[in-house]
Amino acid sequence: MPLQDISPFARELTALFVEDDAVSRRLMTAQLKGVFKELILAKDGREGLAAFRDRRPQVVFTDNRMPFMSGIEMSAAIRRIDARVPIIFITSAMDTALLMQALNLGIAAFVPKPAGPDTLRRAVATAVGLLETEQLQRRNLEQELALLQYRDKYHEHQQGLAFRKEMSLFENDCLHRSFQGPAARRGEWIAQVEYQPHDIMCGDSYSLRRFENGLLVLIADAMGKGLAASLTSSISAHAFNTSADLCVRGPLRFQDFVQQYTDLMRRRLLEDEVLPLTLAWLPTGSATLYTAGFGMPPILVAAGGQVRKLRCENPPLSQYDDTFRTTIHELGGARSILFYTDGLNEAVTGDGSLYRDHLDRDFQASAGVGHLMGAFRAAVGTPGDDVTLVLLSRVDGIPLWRETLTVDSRLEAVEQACQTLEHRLEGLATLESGPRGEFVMALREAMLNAYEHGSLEISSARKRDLLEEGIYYQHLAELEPSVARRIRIDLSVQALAGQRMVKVAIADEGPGFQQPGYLFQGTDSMLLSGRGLQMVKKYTDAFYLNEKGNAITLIRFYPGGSDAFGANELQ
Amino acid sequence: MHLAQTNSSELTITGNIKTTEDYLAIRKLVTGMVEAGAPSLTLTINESMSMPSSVIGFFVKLINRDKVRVTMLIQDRRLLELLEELSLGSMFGARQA
Repeated sequence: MPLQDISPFARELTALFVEDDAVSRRLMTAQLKGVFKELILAKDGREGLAAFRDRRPQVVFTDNRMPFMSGIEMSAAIRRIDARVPIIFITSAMDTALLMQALNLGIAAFVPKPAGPDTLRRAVATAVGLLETEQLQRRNLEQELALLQYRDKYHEHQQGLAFRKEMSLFENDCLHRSFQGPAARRGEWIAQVEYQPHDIMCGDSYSLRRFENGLLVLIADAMGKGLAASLTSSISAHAFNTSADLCVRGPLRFQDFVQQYTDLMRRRLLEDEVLPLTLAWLPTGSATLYTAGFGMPPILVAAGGQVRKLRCENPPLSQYDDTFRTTIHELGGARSILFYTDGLNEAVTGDGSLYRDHLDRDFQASAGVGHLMGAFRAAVGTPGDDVTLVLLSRVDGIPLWRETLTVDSRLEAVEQACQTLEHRLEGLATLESGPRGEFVMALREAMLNAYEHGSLEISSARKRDLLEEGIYYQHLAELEPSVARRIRIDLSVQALAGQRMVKVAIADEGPGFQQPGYLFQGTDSMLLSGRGLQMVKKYTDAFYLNEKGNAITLIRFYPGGSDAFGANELQ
Repeated sequence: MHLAQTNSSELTITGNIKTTEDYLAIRKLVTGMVEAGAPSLTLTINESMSMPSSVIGFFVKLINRDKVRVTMLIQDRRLLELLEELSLGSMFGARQA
């Protein structure tokens, strides 16, 4: 077989031939013609090394005895640059010492001079074969790596989609909306949810649904962890919300709802599966709480400086028991109610105790979810289980101090009002400058929203266009004289759980707007007003809108003692 | 966690019941005891302060479907409180050891 037919792969390679004898160079050039893509020639080891550095050939043929630098010296230098390039020795003299040196340098083949066609063919075939195998291995590795990367990305993508799907099944009608909670007459409450899955998919679920006669709460903790638990969790939330949707147009009867929901869920549980869950009903205008608890930790109620524990009535839901009990609890004087999964109270703290031993105290001392989770993380660090909690808090306590401002819908007046608010907040001695600055930013965003979108009714899209045209502020000045609407600001300070709660309600007289839920949850809102709300979300402990969407209330907690509110604290 | 069968209807669990392996080990041993004809079981639970929901689900099935009478003698008050809180104290026959 001619040398040229050894392998098509060889014709993709560049070879270097180093030989000081001109006749041998011509002879070899003729023999190797057409075998490689290119054959580089060098007259000695030094020239050969320079050519290797410059051109990086894939195969090297070399004589040994040459002026300036021998073949073995050049090979040693090449090995320091490239440990794998095949080197073929073509030499007439090969003693044992040289052979040992050559073997130690990983010389691929030896061809005695004069190089006969068969010997040369075998040497070239060996070198090319090595390269071909190496290339094949590299390609396989690259393919495997690409496949792994694709699978990783694929799984990550699928997990992301599945998580979004799971989250879409959880509904919260109280997301940034206040509601009339348990109180003998009227009581303004807010709901805050903390949802911390341990895995991407998790077994905890929750939902809060509003009816014309009250609020219905679900919190569930499916057995086990991860994907399997998340399926039960998703089903439980879906069954809850589907049942709620069927009832939402009329008054809800709690007993009937529990029956319907538990009947649905029992059919979906495996034979050795249990589902701990709590269903709770807070009827409007009544200081009562109806519960149907199934193997869940107790509900905590803070009232009158005490924490009451409402224990669940039933074992966890299973296939085997179709009866259940419900309880009606009197909630006179309640200021907050906590529903949670066992990831909270069963978490192990730094000192080896369970967080349940700390929970009552931390709940009693917490004003809002942020504080409670801060205390939890300080005690536990990173929890080993899913943690979900729903905290309902009353926010219409008797204020220690209040002030109302009314502002014309003019940019200058709005700016003055913002400065007045900032000045008032500076009077709160224990509200540090950092948190105060953040809260002021949130207030400014809310004030500007009330002015631009509320009073002047400029939509986000219109604002964007005007800004792009560079005529936004000119447009505001033109609109202002024709707008008689005013903005009302109610600033108050209340005592709550050993903290002070500063509450600012900003109401405009515009038509209001309905914010879709995703705007509150997303982080990539395209709307300018959405960004404003994102800042409000970031810099407040809680905020909520009224039903019409033309009033927003912002809340920030700050340290404060139980002493009477000093007249000099806010001037 | 360590499991020790003391006779045909009694077993002792030492250490914390925590992992999936713990659940599988309990299920295997208890299933074997029930299949061998034990109509009732007494578990002495030393040290564990909690019980995973998978283990709870297994005993709920054992008690309600397979009609096996279960008594749990529990050393750690926190586990006893947990089972009471979850309305399982009576079903599991939970008592202080």
